[in-house]
Order: sequence, then C-alpha cells, then structure tokens
Amino acid sequence: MTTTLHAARTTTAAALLAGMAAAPGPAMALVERLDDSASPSAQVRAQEDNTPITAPGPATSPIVRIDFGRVHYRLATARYVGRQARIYYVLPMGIPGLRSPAGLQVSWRTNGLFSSGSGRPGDRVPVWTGQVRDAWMTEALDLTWQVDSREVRLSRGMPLGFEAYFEIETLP
Amino acid sequence: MSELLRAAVAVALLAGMAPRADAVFTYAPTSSAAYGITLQVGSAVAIDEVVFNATGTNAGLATGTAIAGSQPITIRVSPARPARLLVENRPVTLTATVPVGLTCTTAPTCSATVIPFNQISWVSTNATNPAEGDIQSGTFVGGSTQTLASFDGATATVLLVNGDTRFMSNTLNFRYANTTVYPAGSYSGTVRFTATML
Repeated sequence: MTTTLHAARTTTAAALLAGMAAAPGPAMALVERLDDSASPSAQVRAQEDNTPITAPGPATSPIVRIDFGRVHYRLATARYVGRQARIYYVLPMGIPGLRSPAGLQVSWRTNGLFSSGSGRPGDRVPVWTGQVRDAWMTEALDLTWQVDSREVRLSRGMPLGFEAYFEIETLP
Repeated sequence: MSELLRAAVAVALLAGMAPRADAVFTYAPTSSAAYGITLQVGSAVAIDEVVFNATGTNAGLATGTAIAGSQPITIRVSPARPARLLVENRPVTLTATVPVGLTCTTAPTCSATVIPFNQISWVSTNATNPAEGDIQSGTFVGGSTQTLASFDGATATVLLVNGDTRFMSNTLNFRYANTTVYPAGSYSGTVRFTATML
C-alpha cells in the first residue's frame, strides 16, 4: 500500500513538471514578472521642491512628501493574451538607506486601467484583474512617496530609490 | 528540450525566477553640496545710488509731496543647500543697517545738517506675503538694524535639487517724504543690507 502511494505521488509530480514546462499552460496559475523595459523612461527622478516658502517655525514634521508626477509603464503582455490574469504592483522589500518598511509609503493614482492604491516596501498590491486582450498594457501612475525621515539613513550624495515592478498571475 | 532541462525550467518558474525584466527606477537624489546664501542688492557690480532731486518746484517748499527716487532697486536673496532627505529649519533673515540720517556733503551750504533716514520710505512690488519672505512696503528707521524679511530657507519638506529654489526677490521703489525744509545742498547716506541663514 505504501509503495503504491509513493508511485502515485511520483506520477503526479512528473505530470506537474511536464505541465509547467509548457508554461504558460492553460491549466496552471503562474506568477511572472512583467517585462516593462519598453516603458518610456527607465529612470524617473523626483520632482523639484515646489512647496510654498513659509515663515520660520519651530515645529517641523518628520514626514516629507515627494512627488514624481506621472510615471509611465508599458507592459509586455503578448504572452498572456486571452488568459484570465491578475496583475500586482510589487514594491521591493530591501531599499538601501531605508531602515524599515514603515519609513516609506508609496501611493499612486492611476489613469483608468489599473486601480489606484498605496503600499509599503514588501507589499504586493493587486491592481488589475481580467482577461488580457492586448499585447501591450500601458498605464500612467501619479506617484507619491511619503517618507519618514527618521527611518532614512543615507550617506551624503546617495539617492533613495528602488525599482517597483508588476507581476502577472495567470489564472486557471 | 530534454526532460532534465524541461524540469529545470519548470522548477525555475515555480520558484518565481522568471527572467528579470528591466524595471522603472524611481529615485530621490541627494547631494553633498554646501550650504550658502547669496544676496544681491541692485546691480551685481557696484553700489547703486538712488537720487532724490528736490529742485525746481520741490526746492525749499517741503510740500509733503513725496519725491520719487531715481531708480528702483531689486533685492534678491537666494539660499542654497544640499539636496537631502532631512527635515530641517534654515531661517533666513534680511536686515538693513540704517544710519541715523543722510549727512551733508556740500558743507558751504548745509554744513552739518542731517536729514533723518525715516524721511525715506519704499513701496515693494510683489510683496504678497511677509510669511513667504517678501519685503513689505515700509520706512527706514534711522540708526537701527532693521529686519526687512525673514523666511525659512528649508521648510519642513525636502529639497531634491541643489540651488536657490526658495529665493525671494522684491523691487523697492524709494521716495523722499519732503515734509521739512532743509538747507540747500547734497546729502548722502548708505544703507547696508545683510542676509543670513542659520
């Protein structure tokens, strides 16, 4: 009995691997990072400080807001056309110069295709679900950071930055 | 594809190890530039003179009709600080060191007469808000160090580029009150402007 069960498991595992090898197969849920290398800008710098000049004051908030304006993404989705899928916006966990994920909140407002939202480093936020219809998906995010300066330890001249990206999960 | 390679690909996909795509890198730069402040009063290369001519119908009448100065003077303060992610206050102050008065420079006619500096006032253009560092319209206070403007060169936000993005600039149109009769002659006085950033 034990031997028979073991053999059955082996068969199942082999079938699983065979199915994965044909990926993205029709019956498997897969998660892959979307290629966004066709996006217009590979690097997006924060906007200049345009806040109004104010009188000197003793009270200052440790939270600083950094705006990026509109960040454009062009995602290669040709491989998934016709598939039901969910797309996530992924914020990497380890950001050089940031002591903890609590020190950064990333917010984005989208322009029609994906969902607006917010998250912290390490978060994987669902932004779209549906059937992929086109070889490319384009979206523009109005991106804002809120940084707790108490959680930032940058050496002088070192930027605070990271690569957020999109993952696609094809659904069975 | 061999069975072994196919299995390896499958395992790689299972582990989420899809080939890495180039991502969009978002960043807030910082720099190691130095703090500094620049003050410019009038022209950049000389001490500017504003002349009030109390001649002709203005001479000796002390009509109380103010006499406009010969030229406006633009005062600009440009604090510079490194781009950095650090909340801070950097108070900037602009002061004027004002002598007691304008002294006679033509001794045979006006001797040691002094015209008090409070006879000179100014109208400031674009003086929208004193809290934003604008010089407001006002009058000199003779024999004093007079604060004309103050603002925060940093504020509770972040500066992401080097330079003088938080400068202030106002153009002052001076006038002489002409309310008192003084002996004929030329009178002169120098006001020195000082900008500081702590």
